[in-house]
Parts: sequence; structure tokens; C-alpha cells
Amino acid sequence: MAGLLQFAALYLLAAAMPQHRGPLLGRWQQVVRSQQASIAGWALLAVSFGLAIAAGNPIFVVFWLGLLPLSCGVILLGLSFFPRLLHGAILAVPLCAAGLLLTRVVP
Amino acid sequence: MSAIRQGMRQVMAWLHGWTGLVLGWVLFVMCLAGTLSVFKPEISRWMRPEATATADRIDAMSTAVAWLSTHNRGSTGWYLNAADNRANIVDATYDSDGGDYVVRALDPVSGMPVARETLGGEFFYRLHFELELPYPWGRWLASIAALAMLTALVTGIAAHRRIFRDFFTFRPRKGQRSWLDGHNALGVLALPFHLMITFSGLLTLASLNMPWGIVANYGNDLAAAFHDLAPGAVDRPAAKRPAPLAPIAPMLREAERRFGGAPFGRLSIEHPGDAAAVVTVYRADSAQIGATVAEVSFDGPSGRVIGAWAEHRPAVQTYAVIYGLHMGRFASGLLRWLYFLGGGMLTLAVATGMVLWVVKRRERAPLSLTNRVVERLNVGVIAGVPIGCAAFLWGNRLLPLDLASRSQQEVNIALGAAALALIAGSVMPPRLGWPILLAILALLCLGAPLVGGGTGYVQAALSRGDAVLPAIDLVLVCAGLAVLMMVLPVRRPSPAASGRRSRRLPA
Repeated sequence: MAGLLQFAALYLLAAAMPQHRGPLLGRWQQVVRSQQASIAGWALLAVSFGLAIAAGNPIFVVFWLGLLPLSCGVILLGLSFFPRLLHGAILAVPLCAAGLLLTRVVP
Repeated sequence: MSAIRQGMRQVMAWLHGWTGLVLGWVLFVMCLAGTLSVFKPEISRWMRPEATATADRIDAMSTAVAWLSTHNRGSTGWYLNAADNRANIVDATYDSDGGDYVVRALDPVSGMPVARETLGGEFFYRLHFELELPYPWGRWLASIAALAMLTALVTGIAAHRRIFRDFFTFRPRKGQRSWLDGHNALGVLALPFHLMITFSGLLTLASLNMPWGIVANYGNDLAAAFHDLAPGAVDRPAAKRPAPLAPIAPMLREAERRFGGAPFGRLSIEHPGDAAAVVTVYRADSAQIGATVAEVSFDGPSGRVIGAWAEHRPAVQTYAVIYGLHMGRFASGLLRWLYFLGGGMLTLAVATGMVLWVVKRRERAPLSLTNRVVERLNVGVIAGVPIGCAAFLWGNRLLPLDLASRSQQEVNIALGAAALALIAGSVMPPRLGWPILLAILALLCLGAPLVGGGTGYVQAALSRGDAVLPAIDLVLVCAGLAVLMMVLPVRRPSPAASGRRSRRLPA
């Protein structure tokens, strides 16, 4: 869960940068302003790190830090080579998050 | 102000370049070997395809001790690493009748040493911090290199002008620009990992770098220092009277009960077969992040508890957590792969940094003689060391099983192959050296799963539901394909690059 949020947060932070706005946001460029994306990105990042800490076991903090290069790397490679795939991934994040929440609540 | 800042950046960039250049090749070996060590038990399993039996950790340890009890005489001590969900064999170190210590992998069901004598993943682990040099020189060099790495990381951060703005930027096919982007991304994106692994690695060798604290307090009395580090350890002289060892399984269960249910990871038996034998059971490092010591000692012949001790001192525990973070033994599943990813990125960051040194200077002016030497050494080391690693796997599959000192022969093959590649890389012009050596590396990686037994090993593993061997095969094939993909573009733009250089020359 924290990992998904981390990915979304980093995506937003990248989308806040002038040189990546176009490929990352597409038509949403008019809707989302850089500053909003930046604030939302940092906030999500903080929330995801908070979740890792709140999990209780320090292993999750190590996990969160270990996931950083993976999330950033996916965004970097996606930006350079397959921006379409990246759009798909970011759209899948809320779905996966909702799915995870459901499995927590339902059983 | 800005003049000072510009100046500082330049100084930092200068230091970054030189620390990286001077120890870069050593760092490349260390990072590569360390990254492979993340999967040490898995690599060992791949390299012992005949050892397919698995057993519960207590049963495996009992059979190992039983085999040693009947087949080993006159030993001063047995040191055994337990089988667990990653390693299926018991890893035993022991001597006999005053001889040298030997290391053997004991089968978990029969207790006998398994057929294929090999160092397995232990080779990469040792290479990571001893560099195949005699003690203490290897560790010295490794710790100096770690110091250089830490310097290079910190100066790299200071010298990077647009650390946040270029965070997600990679511009492919732009010569020096791409190498710099790649080097930055590999370094910056995993920076928390890089800083952690370098600092903690430096600390594991701290008693070698900075022995003065120990010397000031203990002088040359290292035994006293060790005793204070493990004050609960039971140490008693041999009684010189033979006595059989009590069954080991009840001791292991008692120890695990005292560890609060955490599994045991290691076992040592001092003076085995003597009336004063001491059995000490240690908690597994995989139970928590910190590699803190917890141990229970038993009287060998009776199986009575004669000592129990766990480390609770804050300073020692702090060290244990840092050490544990470096070793990553607590990491399982995805987290282990993230360690592998971080290590791989650091290895590539070192490699791209070395290449960048040459590329940057080549784009400005024709290379000086020294830089041409650097360029060729880059080819030899960056392609040659992985070739040595892959050759090690080939040696494992090809050497006859009954060869004398077989495990050493495997190491000789690895070192020989790396040395050959280094010589080839230095002799050939880099324009030929890069594609030829990388193509050899790719073929070695692609061939390793098949050599010596065709698809027999992977089929046998799949039929008994063992995922480790096929997974490593898959990683090898992916690595081979990735290297192949690198070969193709390396060959194409090189005429263009030299063309650009010659165009600039007259100007």
C-alpha cells in the first residue's frame, strides 16, 4: 500500500517538473498546475512514509527506502522509452489501492 | 558567493573524479561481488545441483552432527550453519588431527558431504571484502576502497548541479550527455541505499581501519577484547577424556524455546568427543534486522544448559543493526530483490562513472596516453570481471566431480578467465575490445544454464518443484540478453563517434 502511494507521489512530483509535464499529464496539463502536483506529491510521499512507519515493524521502513530506486527507476525509464505504459501504471494505482483496501475490509 | 560556490563544485567534481578513478576498478569488483552475494545461498544451491534433499533444520543439523561424530577425529571444533528455507545443506567448517580447517556442504538427509565440492556463493561473498588477496591486504584494500566510495558519494552529491531538476531525466543516444544522465540516475535514485551500504560496509571493517580504541583498552590482549564483546560465551579447556555427545535435537529445541521461538542459525561444538565438549547454539540473523547475538551453551556429554546470553548493550546493538542492514540477512522475498537492485545500480554507477571519465575527455580532445590506458583498463575490468564470474559458473559445471581440490580449481578458472579478459581488453583497441568481450560475456551468461548437462538440471529442478535453479537460470539469460543488447549499439555508433572526433580536431 505504502509502495503504491509512493509510486503515485513520485509520479506527481515528476509531473510537477516543467520538462516532464507534457509526457506525464497529456491533456490534464490544463487542469493540474505544477504547484498543485508538487504539493500533492510531497503530501502523498509523506503519507506513504507515515504508513511504513505506522506498520510497526522497522523492516517496512527499510522496505520503503528500498522501493525508492524501483519506483523512481520505473518512472525514469518510462519517461525515456515508454510514456504510454507509465500512464497505464498510474491509472492502475488507485484500482490496486482500492483492491488492497477491500481485501483488508472484506474478509 | 556564487564564485565560491562554483569553485566548491569544481573542487568536489575534481575529488569525485579522482577518488572514483583511482579505486573505481576495485569498487567495481566489490560492488559486483557484493550484489551477487545477496543471493549467496541460492547461488550455492545452483552450484550443487546434485544436493536436492531437503529436511527440517533440526533434523538436518542432527544428521550432520551424527555424520561428523562418526567420521571426524581429533577436531578442535565444528562450526555449522543451519539449513533453512534458503540453503538446503548444512555448511560445516572443521579440522581433524591438527590439520587445516576444511569447509564442506553436508547433505541434510545423509549427513555426508555433497558430491560437487565447491565454494558456491561463498566465493562472491569472500571476493566482496577480501578480493582474493591474502589477509589483511584484501580487507585493507576493501576498506580503503569503501572510504573512497563514501568520499565519491558525498562529493558526487555536492558536485551535482541539478540534483532535483534532473531527477527523472534520461536522454538516450546523446553521447556524453546520456552517460552523465545514466550515471546520475543510477547514483541519485538509489542514494539512500548507496549511502547505507557504503557506510555500513565501512563500519564492518572498522576494527581494521581504526584499531586504536581496542589497542588503547586491551593492548595486545585480543582474547580479553573478544571476551568483553561476548561476555556470556562459555569457553573451557578440553578435559582430554573421551565422552560421547548427547543427542543434539533436544538442545536445539531448548535453545529455540529460549530465543522466544526464533529459529537457530548456527551451532558450534568445541572439543567434540571430549568430556568437556561445549555445544553453543546461536539465534538466526534472519529473525530481526540487527545481527545481535543470542546464544545458549550446553554441556556436550549431558546436554545440560551451562550458559545463556543475549546482547542488550545499546552501543553493541547499534553496531549490530548497522551490520545487519549491510548483510541483509533479515530481508526476504521482494526486499531481497530490492537489495539486489540497489547493489546492481551501485555497480552500474561505478561502471558508468569510469566510462564517463574517458568519454568526457574524448569529446574535448584526443585522449592522452594515460587516459588511453584508463580506457583499455575499463574494457578489461568492466567486461572482464563479470566474465570471470560467469567462468566460475562454467567451471562448476565442467570440472570432473572427483578432481582434487576441486573448489580451488573453480576459483582458479574464475581468476584465470578474468585475467585473460583483462589482458585482451588492454591489448585490443577499445573499439574492438568492448563488443568482443561483451559478446563473450553474453555467451557465457546464456550458456551457463546449459553447459555440462544440457537442460537436464533445469528439468530435474522443475519436476521436483524447485524454483531456485530455474530462477537463477532466468536471471543469467536476462543478463546475457541485456549484455547482447549493449553490444549492438556499442558497435554501431563507434564510427560516428570517431568521425565527430576527427571533425573537431582541425578546429
